[in-house]
Parts: sequence; C-alpha cells; structure tokens
Amino acid sequence: MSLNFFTLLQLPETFVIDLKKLDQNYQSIQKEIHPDRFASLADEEKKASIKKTAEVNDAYQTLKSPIRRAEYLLHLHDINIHDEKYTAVPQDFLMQQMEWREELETHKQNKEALEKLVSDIQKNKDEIMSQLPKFFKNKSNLHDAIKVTRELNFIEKIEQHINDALIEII
Amino acid sequence: MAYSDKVLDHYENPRNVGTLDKDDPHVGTGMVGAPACGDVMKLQIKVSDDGVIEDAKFKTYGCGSAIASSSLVTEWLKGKTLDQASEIKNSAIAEELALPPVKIHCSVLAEDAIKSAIADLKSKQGKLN
Repeated sequence: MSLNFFTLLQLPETFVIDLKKLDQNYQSIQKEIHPDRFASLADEEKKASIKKTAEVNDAYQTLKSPIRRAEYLLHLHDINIHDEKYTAVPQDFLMQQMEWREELETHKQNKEALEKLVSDIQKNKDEIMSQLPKFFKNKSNLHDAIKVTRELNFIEKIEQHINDALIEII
Repeated sequence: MAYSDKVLDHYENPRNVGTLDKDDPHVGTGMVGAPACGDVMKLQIKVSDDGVIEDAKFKTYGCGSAIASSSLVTEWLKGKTLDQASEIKNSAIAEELALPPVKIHCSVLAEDAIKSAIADLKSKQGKLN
C-alpha cells in the first residue's frame, strides 16, 4: 500500500491547498530522500530511496494540477472518474464540446481563430474550476464534483488538440 | 496498436457523416461522450411515420475505433424499426470491427448513442401527442 499523497507531502486532505507550501514541502522532502545522499549505503537502501523519490514526484505532480488533484480526491472516495461505462454527460455540455471541435476543425490553419478559441475555452474552464472548492467541501456534493471533474477532462482534451494544431501552424 | 481492416475502412471512408435537422420532429439526436478519453459522439436518426429508420448520420470526434463504431451503426440502423435498433448491442459492434479490449468502450459509446437518439425521438414525439 503506498502512502496517501497528501500525507506524503504533509498537506491537509482538501481540494484547496497552499501551492507554495506544496512546493516547499516537496523540495525539502526531495532533498532528504535524494538517492545521491545514499550513494555510500547498501543497495537495498538505495533502492528504497529511489522508490520513495518516484512516489514523491508522483504525489507532487498529482497535487499540483487541480484536475489531477480532484481526480485523486475522488479516487480516495473510491470513485474512478475514468470508468469507461459512464457515457451520460449533460447534453448541453456535450453540445458545447461538439461546437468547439467543429470550430477547431474549420479553423485548423487559422492561428488567430484558434487563439480566440483557446481564450474562450479558458474562460469556460476557469468558471467550471471555480466551482470545485465548494463541491469538495461537503461530502453530499461529491456527485457535483464528479460531474465537474469529468467535464474538465473533456476540456483538457480539446485544449490538447488545439495546442497540437497551433504547433503545426508555427 | 494495430487497427483491424474494418476499422481502417470506416476510419478512412466513414459512412453517413453529417447532420440532420435536430428540430425536425422525425429526427432523434443522441449525444454521448467518454470522459476517459474526451471523445464526443453525435448520432441522429430520421424515422418515417410508420416507425422505420430512413436515415442516420453521425459526427464523432475521437479515435479511429470511435469513428468506426459510429460509422458502422449508421449503416446498421437504416431500415430498422426503433425496437430493432434498440437491440443493437455493443458486443456485436465490437465483434464486427474486431475491437481489442482497450477499445471496447468505443462500441459502448455507440450503443449509448443509439439509445440516446431513440430516447430523444420518443420524448419529442411524446410531447407532440
């Protein structure tokens, strides 16, 4: 059993975390367990240190991203938002996704249009993201947290596609 | 990962890509999405007065298997009654396209899209009657 990521980085298990503290804790733990420090020690201890370093890195990357952090919190509640059987996403949300995808397809070569699309999506993403803290505050709102985290996954995906298109242009 | 020839065929020559008028009372629109991969699928059916599917169109943004699954079901849907359409199972789609286990969810998405389109049509017609 690996350690809880929040425990590992000495943070309270909440959605809203102190990012500065996350960075500080991460750096000080990394220093403490860095494999180079154990160069003179037995192989077993070196191995343990490498494993621990990987765990701490994983924990840090997960908690640093709000979407990954949300997914992880849900995972701690035994909820896997990547469950593939689940396809019922609100219709108006999907309609919006479809429109964005169509826009991306139409303006694949148009840098300005794509940048406008990026900023529209960013606004929408910020709005959705701003709801997460309150959904995670109360256990009875977890279903809303699931819904919003799933939506953010769709948004992340289209952002990737737009970035890919932008790279092609440049 | 290698796609089967049938998936490649649908991916390269998708059948029935397009859009039907979603406000037409004879048209049912199904929208589904897979949060795991961010795929979005729209499936539309146009049904005659005697309840037979005359036309089916799809638009899918996703991987080759998701496109192939939706393309295939538009072919299957034409000429079927709504009851027959609702009997299309994801396992049949996966078998026809020889989908590997990691892509089974694409066929689930297509089955759910059919159900969603039928439900939309029925709710529309329920309102009219």
